[in-house]
Amino acid sequence: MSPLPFPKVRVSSFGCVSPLGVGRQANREGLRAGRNGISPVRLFPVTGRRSQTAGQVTEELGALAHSIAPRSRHWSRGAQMVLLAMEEARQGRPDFIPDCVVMGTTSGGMPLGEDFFRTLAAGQPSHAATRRLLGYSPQQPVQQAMRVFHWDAPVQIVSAACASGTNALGIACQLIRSGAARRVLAGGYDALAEFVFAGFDSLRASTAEKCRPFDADRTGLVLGEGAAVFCLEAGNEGLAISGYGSAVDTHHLTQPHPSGAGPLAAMRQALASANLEPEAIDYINAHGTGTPFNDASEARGILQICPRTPVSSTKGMTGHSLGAAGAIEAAFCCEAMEGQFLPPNLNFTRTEKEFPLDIVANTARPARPHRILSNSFGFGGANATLVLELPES
Amino acid sequence: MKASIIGMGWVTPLGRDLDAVWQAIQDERQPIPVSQSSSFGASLCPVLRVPDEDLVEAEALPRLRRSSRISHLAVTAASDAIASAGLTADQLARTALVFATSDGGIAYTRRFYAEVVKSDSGSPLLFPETVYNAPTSHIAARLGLGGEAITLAGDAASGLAAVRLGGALLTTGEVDHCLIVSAQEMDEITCLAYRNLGLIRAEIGEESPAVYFAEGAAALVLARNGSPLIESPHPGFSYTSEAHAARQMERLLDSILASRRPRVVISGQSGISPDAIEQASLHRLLPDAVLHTPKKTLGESMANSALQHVIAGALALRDHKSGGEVLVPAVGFNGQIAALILTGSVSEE
Repeated sequence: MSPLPFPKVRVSSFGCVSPLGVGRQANREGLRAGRNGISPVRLFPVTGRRSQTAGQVTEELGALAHSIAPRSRHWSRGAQMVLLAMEEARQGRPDFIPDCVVMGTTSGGMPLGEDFFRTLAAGQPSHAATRRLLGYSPQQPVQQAMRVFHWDAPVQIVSAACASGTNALGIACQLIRSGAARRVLAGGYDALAEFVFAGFDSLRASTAEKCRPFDADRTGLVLGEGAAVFCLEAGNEGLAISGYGSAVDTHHLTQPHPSGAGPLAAMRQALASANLEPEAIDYINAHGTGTPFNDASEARGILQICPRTPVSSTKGMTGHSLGAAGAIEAAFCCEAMEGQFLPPNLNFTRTEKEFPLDIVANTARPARPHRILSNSFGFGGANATLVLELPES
Repeated sequence: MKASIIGMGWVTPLGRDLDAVWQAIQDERQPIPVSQSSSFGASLCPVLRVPDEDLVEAEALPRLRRSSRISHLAVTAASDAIASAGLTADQLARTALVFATSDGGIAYTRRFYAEVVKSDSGSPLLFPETVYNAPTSHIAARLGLGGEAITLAGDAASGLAAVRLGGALLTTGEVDHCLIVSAQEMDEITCLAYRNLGLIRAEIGEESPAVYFAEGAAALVLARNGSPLIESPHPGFSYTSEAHAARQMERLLDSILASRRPRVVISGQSGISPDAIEQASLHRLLPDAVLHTPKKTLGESMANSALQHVIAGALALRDHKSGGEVLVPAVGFNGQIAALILTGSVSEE
């Protein structure tokens, strides 16, 4: 059976919470200005860690969530971020009632798991920590936010490490294409957690310096957090997801194949499903974590398929928000198309000779992008790419 | 959504032989638990373990040597399912993978965080195995898969959501087969959590309707055509409370059973909430159906239990040579409800 043509999936509305701000306007302004959203970590101790900084969502998060739903003051930060993004998406499409919800995350309710462990390890009574532990389930923050809007659709949590958000949006499109769903609420979320911070520290993947995606002197990633939620439905008008590719690279659990084969396969699939030639792409929002291995592999993949297309990674501004990154960056792509600019790749000083990419260095570039590739890659060899489109008319 | 099952793999505390395990379920054979040790000074949990010798694939791939037990369980079930389906390398190239899990590699997660709490740093060998999709990657590496490989995390209903997603991937025509895998590993922290939540039996010999916590894995190979056929006419619901769950289950079953009358139900019920919710709905809507309850024999293993129940449903359908329909519902402990229908008759899409 030949694959069904990939009908466009309409982006009816979306909401975004990132270290650049809460809401679409704040994020668009932050992207256009090349704002630095990285700051010293305030959420847990980082003494002795390589990295001391992260992209953190505003300290006003709790108050903003409380203004929508007072009950949210007892929720995890992840749930509060989902609530804000979901509310913004709902406001943009007030009559949208999802029949399925697909969200990506990597760490889910990890801070609540940390709390449960510390309670047990201290020999303290664990009943209260056990009750809170229900929030450890990665579905819980999404369900908490949905209850505010009286939505009772089933929730599917996609966890493909740092590709989760992109995979969630791609799967939402596949559910719509197959007829298994008509309207899907999809996106991703992740809140900073000590466990994850220590994990990237142990792998020496995080940096004590600035995050410099694709720079010849890049030294690693800076973590981040946030959430983005999209209202998706069948349709050809306006903003749309028109292609999706996903491929697993089994070279190594944490390192991509140096050839860039994984990213290349995902990008090729996405273009084929969108029925587009590589030359049609106006901009690539790269995964671009700033680690030597990731950026080298991704650059090789891009050079094999879109060697002259402008590229930037926005992680120098936001940090790497893991399972939320793909969804947040899809939102950034939509902002770029509607706002007619290419987001900048901060902290870029020197091109690596082997990778002569057209990097949108340090300041936003005026442009009229209509077709964008958005890449996300993760542990386990997860590679995912979306094609986002805004019709030229 | 419709898809057919052309291969199955089942890794249980009672072994991997499909017929033997199915017979044990029908006989309601009582399982033999072992005690799960605890480093927290808490009392021990009785659990059902898969014999180590049943994990034949554990040494088959170098990268599995350092992996968590959930990956060994998952790879074993996946390999058995692919072998039973008889897929060739060319066919594997057009096979997608969907892995469903409730807790992922929880043992390495606990160990890594214990190191962080104790000494401010954790092992870089442990951390990569803590991501939910680590088993997915190991399965793909073992079988040579290179296409879509998705991990769904959640409660019991995510096992059925994985099947529904697999059917959707087949419908779009991008793949010819879809491998659905689930697995549950055992760790002291999940034993304590689920015990405190009242979801599993707390002591050996306890007078309790709850069942033992269990590890295991299950795998299905789905294709577009063949028999038995899986139908997922409804995506399911979220629920907010036990009372809401009961209403949502009735809504879901009313929808699914509008044009069907399954004679067999593979029930998740073990007598505790939320399974009791399912029991009440079934009693009202299908009072004459034959109920099989695999958890009494195989224990509770969350998302993995749901996929195990699909295998049990396929075997029940096989035994009913005259055809018919089998209902497989799942009420997750964390707010999700889903159900599937298995049928022996192949219908055109």
